[in-house]
Amino acid sequence: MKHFAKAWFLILAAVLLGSPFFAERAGAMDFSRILEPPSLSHFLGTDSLGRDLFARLVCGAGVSVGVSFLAVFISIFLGTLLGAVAGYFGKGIDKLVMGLTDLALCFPVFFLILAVIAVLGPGFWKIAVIIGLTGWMGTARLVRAEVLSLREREFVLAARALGAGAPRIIFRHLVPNAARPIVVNAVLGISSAILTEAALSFLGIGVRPPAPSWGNILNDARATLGVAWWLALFPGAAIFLTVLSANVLGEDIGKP
Amino acid sequence: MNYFLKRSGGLVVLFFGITLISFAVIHLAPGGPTDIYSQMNPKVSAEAAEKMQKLYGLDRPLLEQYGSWAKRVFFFDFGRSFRDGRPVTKKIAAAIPVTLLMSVLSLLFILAAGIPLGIYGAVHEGTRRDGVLSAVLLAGFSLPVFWAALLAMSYFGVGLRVLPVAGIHSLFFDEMTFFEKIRDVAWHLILPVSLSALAGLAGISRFMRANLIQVLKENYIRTARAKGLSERKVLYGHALPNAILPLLTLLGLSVPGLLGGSVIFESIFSIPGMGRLFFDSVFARDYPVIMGVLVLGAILTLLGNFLADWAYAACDPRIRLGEKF
Repeated sequence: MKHFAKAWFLILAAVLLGSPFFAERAGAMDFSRILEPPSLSHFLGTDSLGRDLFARLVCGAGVSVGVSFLAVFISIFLGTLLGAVAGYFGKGIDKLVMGLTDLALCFPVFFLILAVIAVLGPGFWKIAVIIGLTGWMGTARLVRAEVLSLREREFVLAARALGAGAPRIIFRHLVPNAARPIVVNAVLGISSAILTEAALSFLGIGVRPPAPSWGNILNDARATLGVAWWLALFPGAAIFLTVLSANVLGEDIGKP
Repeated sequence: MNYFLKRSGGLVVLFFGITLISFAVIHLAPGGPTDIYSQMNPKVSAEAAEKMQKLYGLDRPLLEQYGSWAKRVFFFDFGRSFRDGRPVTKKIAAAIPVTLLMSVLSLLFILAAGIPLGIYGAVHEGTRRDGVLSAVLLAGFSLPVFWAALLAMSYFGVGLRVLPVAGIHSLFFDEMTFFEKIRDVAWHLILPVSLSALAGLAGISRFMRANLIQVLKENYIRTARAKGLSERKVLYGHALPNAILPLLTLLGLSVPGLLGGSVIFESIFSIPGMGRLFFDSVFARDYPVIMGVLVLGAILTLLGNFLADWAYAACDPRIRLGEKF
């Protein structure tokens, strides 16, 4: 499982590097060759506008992975910052930050994301930022718990005795020591961000066509469900394999 | 009792926060909610738009608007839908039973299958069978449910034509007898419910397995074994009750996931529930309905958490007595 996951991520990296070369092909429509099943000239078949599915999946990888990485970067940054500050300072600040976390956890996240997109409209950056802004709570709780147990240790006392200020202690001494759970959270976050982006695009409010994303290719597949199985099978398989690989790797890193 | 008072106080504060955030989200809209009216309809003059602003109280300061909105929400008055003018509460009330029925059914399936699977994995920890089961569960956990739904629809509905793929009842529903109605609804719910159960199943059984493995390593389990209890008694009498408790918290926390999932399932299978209502309102920018569902969803989540805590406290004296450990 682990080697398979690593191999898939290598393939994905290669695909991301190669995606600019497929951009033209992904947008090229050919109405004489619509809905063709997989063949030698069209490796994974064509869609209802005669575009090559393989090229669209390759380009969609950039969008799907890009959105999820950006989202995870935002949520990990926010979660680590809030969690570390809450854990280190304690008292009122801790109460405030954790209250905020509880509040954010009360919202059905998917509803909130939909509502914000309803107001602001869809788009690559907006989707990434919204997924990021609604996903920091788990990391915040985790980092806070780690920092709470770390801050009483001798090396923190030593740092303080040497005259280090709060920011230095938090970011040079506490956060690096909580690195492993943070990384695990980030990897697992990628899997859930990819799923969320795909679900949004699948519902037609994520990344806007004609830009391909794995989710909106699947959305297109709904219209031709009985006719073109390849349109439904391959994009979903790409999502599934990526999410599975991220989960496998996250679980593996998390093992002590 | 002190514990519950404290929790309830927290709930009130959280409820205020929820309404505040919901209100803020809607006011993120550049220009304000009534712009949709005037932008979509060129016949609306600037004067009329202004009148509408006054009618909805949008010309008053934001804090005052929030105050009057919150006051109405407190009495469950969310206003009327922009689309058809029906009261928001009526629309939501019509949609809730469907979503609730689906969620409860799939939760029952999840628990009925997830707990035994988790127990099986934990008891056989480290064996080949456990390895295979864990791999399958992790795969199930990673499965994009909308993809699975699409494939199932195309196989059972379009390919084999054995199961209905849209709606919750047939065309001639009104002419059916009571039992035929039940059968018809059940028939329509097979695909959506089993798929949403599939989505939650993996998570629950993985959680169950991890908990039980943890508990089986405790000292009191060794004691129970040492005094000669049968493995059955050790497992079901001593280990399981302690391993199942955290599941309550997880169930309480699963409300947002169920609501989010309802958006996906209900729009794939055209089921007229909360998720579908919310989704359609999002597309139509029907702000009163969006706000209503958002607030209600948050209340349901709060309720889920609260019930889970309550059940936990009812089962676990350490929490009930407020002991710190």
